[in-house]
Amino acid sequence: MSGPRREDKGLALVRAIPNSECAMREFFEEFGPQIFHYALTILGDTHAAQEVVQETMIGVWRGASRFTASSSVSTWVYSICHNKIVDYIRRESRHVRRASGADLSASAVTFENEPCGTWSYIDPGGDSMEFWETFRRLPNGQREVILLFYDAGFSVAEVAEILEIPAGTVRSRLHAGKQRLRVLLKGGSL
Amino acid sequence: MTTRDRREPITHLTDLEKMRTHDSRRASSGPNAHRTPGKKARVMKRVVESVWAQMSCAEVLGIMPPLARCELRSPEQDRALFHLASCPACRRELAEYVNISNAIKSHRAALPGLPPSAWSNLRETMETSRHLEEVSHTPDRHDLGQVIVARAPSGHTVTGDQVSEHEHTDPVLVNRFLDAVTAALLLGGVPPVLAGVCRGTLGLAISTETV
Ligand SMILES: [Zn+2]
Repeated sequence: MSGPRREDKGLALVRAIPNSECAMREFFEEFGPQIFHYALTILGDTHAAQEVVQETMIGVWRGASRFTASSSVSTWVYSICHNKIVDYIRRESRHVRRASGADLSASAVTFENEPCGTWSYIDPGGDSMEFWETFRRLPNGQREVILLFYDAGFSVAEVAEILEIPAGTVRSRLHAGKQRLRVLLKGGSL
Repeated sequence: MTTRDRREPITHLTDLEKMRTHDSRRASSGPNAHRTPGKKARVMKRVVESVWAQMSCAEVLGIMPPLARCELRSPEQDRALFHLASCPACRRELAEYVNISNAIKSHRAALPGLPPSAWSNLRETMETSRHLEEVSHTPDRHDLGQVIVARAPSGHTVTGDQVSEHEHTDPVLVNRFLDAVTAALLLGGVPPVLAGVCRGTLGLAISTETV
């Protein structure tokens, strides 16, 4: 994921995006599929994940000229994506609460602590179905660190940067998430 | 090229074990194996150990992903490998990292991918967004709390139903919404892609009616 050569390519594309649709397309092809899966495994809904990818890429397109390379391109894209996911969940929850006549001023959605995702449009079948069903039961905060660390391959420091939380919190969420996965998978070998 | 210069992912721990046995064989079978190490060698050993031993278990955990992919550079890679060679807990962590990582990747492969239409949708949104920036037409504006209404000279009324928090109090976003609405009216309706932009970027679900 954060391989040095990939990072160089990402940076070259970001520099070119303000003046080149081709660069935007190439960037989209490079990062789109993986942030789609990231959003999909958090939101459990292909339509929602597509919306998040679209918004993330619009964020990249609008923000490319201001990108300072103070962080890596990968962490930048994932942090935009994370924020879009949080926005999406808040929006949906607000919509649902309004539709049900609930008090909108009631406490904001605690994104980190809630298991989420309806998993309505996914049916990977077999083993994978069971795995993602189990994974879905972890709180959002734990699922995010697990995906960023084990799947996207970010270091603890990078995960902390993406989610804007202390490194210690990343470590404790990783630890707790792993324990819960183990319990949920009944001691299976994952 | 030393063993550690290879850029192949560590898929199991055999590599490390090999390095350890190789190192210890070399240490015990050399011509000086029967001698006690000289003062210089002892000092060197202390220096090397104090440099390498600085990496803690938490630090090793922190860089586990690039370490497993052999993407660290020296001396970080060497320090991490040195720590691993003497720390069974971190070796277990690394093995577990590789397991979990492979499991997630294989289950992820079973999920649906990004549909081929995604790029054309994005391109359309970029086009619309560009178009909005060029529109300078200004309709009447009314902010009715959570519902924002714009009325254009054509007689269309467009209603933006707030679906996100705070946005209606942000004049920049309200103006962007009104620009979007204006563009929609110029285009003769609200195309789905614009509705998507409004919902996603502005947090507004928009609908139109002719007065
Ligand atoms: Zn250790």
